[in-house]
Amino acid sequence: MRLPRVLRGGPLVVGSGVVLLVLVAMMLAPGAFTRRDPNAIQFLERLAPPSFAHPLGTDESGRDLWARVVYGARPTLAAAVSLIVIAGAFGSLVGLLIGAAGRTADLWLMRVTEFFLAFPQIVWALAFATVVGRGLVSCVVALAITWWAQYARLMRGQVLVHREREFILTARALGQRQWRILLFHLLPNCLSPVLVKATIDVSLAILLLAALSFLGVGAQPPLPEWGAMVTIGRKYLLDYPWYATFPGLAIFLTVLSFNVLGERVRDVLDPQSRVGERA
Amino acid sequence: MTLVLKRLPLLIALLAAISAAVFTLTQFLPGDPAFVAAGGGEATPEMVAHARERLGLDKPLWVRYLYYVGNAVRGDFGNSIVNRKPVIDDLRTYWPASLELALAAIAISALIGIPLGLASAAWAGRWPDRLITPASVFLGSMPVFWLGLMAVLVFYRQLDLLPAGGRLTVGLAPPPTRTGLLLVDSLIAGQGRLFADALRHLILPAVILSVISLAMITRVTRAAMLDILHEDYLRTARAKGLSEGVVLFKHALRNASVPIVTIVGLQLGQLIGGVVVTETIFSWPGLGLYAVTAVENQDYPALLAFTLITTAVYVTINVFVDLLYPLLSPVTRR
Repeated sequence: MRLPRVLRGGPLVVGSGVVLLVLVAMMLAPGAFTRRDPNAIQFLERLAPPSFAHPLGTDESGRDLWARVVYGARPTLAAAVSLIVIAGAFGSLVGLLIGAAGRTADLWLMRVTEFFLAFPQIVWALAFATVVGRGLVSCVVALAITWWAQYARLMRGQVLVHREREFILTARALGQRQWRILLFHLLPNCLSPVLVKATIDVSLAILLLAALSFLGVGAQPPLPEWGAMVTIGRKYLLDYPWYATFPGLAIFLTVLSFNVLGERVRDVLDPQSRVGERA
Repeated sequence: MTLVLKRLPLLIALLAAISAAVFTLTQFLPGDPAFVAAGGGEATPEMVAHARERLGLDKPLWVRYLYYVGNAVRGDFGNSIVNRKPVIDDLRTYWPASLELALAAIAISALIGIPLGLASAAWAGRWPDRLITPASVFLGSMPVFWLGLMAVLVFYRQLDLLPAGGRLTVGLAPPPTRTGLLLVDSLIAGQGRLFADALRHLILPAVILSVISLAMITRVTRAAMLDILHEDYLRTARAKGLSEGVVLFKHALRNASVPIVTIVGLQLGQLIGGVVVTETIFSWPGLGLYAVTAVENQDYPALLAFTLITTAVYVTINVFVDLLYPLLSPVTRR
């Protein structure tokens, strides 16, 4: 059996693919990876070092860290992916409509997106989540409020490139309705850079959301989100170093895999692109 | 100049929007400031009503917002809920620490990142490149706060080489304040030991903070150099017998500088987020730690002021980056 094209590209790419598969499996069926309950408190075994019974050790309430890392895959990834899906879908839609709409609307869009692009993300999310209420959902909302603008600009650029191409003119000449042309002819041809950006952006989203958890406005205990676990582990860093180490390692491996695969997707979809400019 | 004027509306719109959003949201929080100001539990309804009038809380929302903006423009951001001191005084105390940290970090990432990017472009596809490029992806994938904690484990706990936090060893008196930057102040005062101590405290936070931008600067330098390495003028420079170093550093780097400066400048803005995280890890007494403390204590005046000031700084940096283009590249001169 041959690997799909995206995965052909050296051990790093294959490894990243494996990591992501394992993550998806952890999200869907965490019970297959551990038989322990991530929230089962056992004070007698608190802050135990890694061992056969607890491969990654235990936390301050004696909860199994491996189980918490496994069950943490779901909130950590779900938040990041839904942030990018919301921002990406909304932004692309706006970009598509505006790109097709004409000069005046276009000028306005550029103004508005410039405004949202200028938001300092972490600072804004910190303020927003403090006031609205801490938690992953607030952080996702806060970041989505600014993030969509990047997709709107990307999509608009794509629309401008493809709008005057022959197949669109043909569709128009054949008397197709405007919305049909937009959805079935223009959109599919504009999507590939958006997908590349979305893959890489998931990794950025994981990092940002984890940082917000670390600052205390993201995921709240006892939710086993990785960033929040590192945050609590920090209190025990010097004497029980495994506590903060392993959840952080999980973030690192996940983000790395998304970055490697994102770049690979880019190479496959658009062989001419070079490493570098990230919007 | 025209560019500054063109960007001014954006800056004002941003500040107005962010302040209005955060201000409005704070007004709908549970808890009644007038009740608290009137003395809490023992306050009679009349006292609460009086306090409400005194604080201007009986006015409509937009009037209160305009009051807030009017005061903020004059540098009055209200008093901190926690220590009752004017927020602006606190900001004045804390900002030099953040500036020192951010400057050190951007210097480190530019001094290391640009040569690394140059090297990997000059030897594109060969071993320096195949080492540097994956390494930059690796670094860029690390959560900064985790990397910081790991650095504390290694350099403080295991090796005992560097301190784990703060700006000076406890017990040392800081130098007389001139700039607020401890490295500069201790030099001005001629206190070598103090300088060394401040430097030792600065190393870990600055290096960790630089990691975010280091990866990005390396990648952009590489890409920008690759774009121009095959230009005719470089071949000419080589043909007339200039050394490879002169060709790379004087001829190529100068022409690749526009995207590099853009990224360095934008990183300076992104750094603000990183500063908040890094200061939290290393208990660095700057604006970021101040903001996080304000978040913990629900100290809204402090948080609002921090948000407005960092936004202003962020946008201003971007404007300055735009102003640098014409200096660097004659093509963009009009």
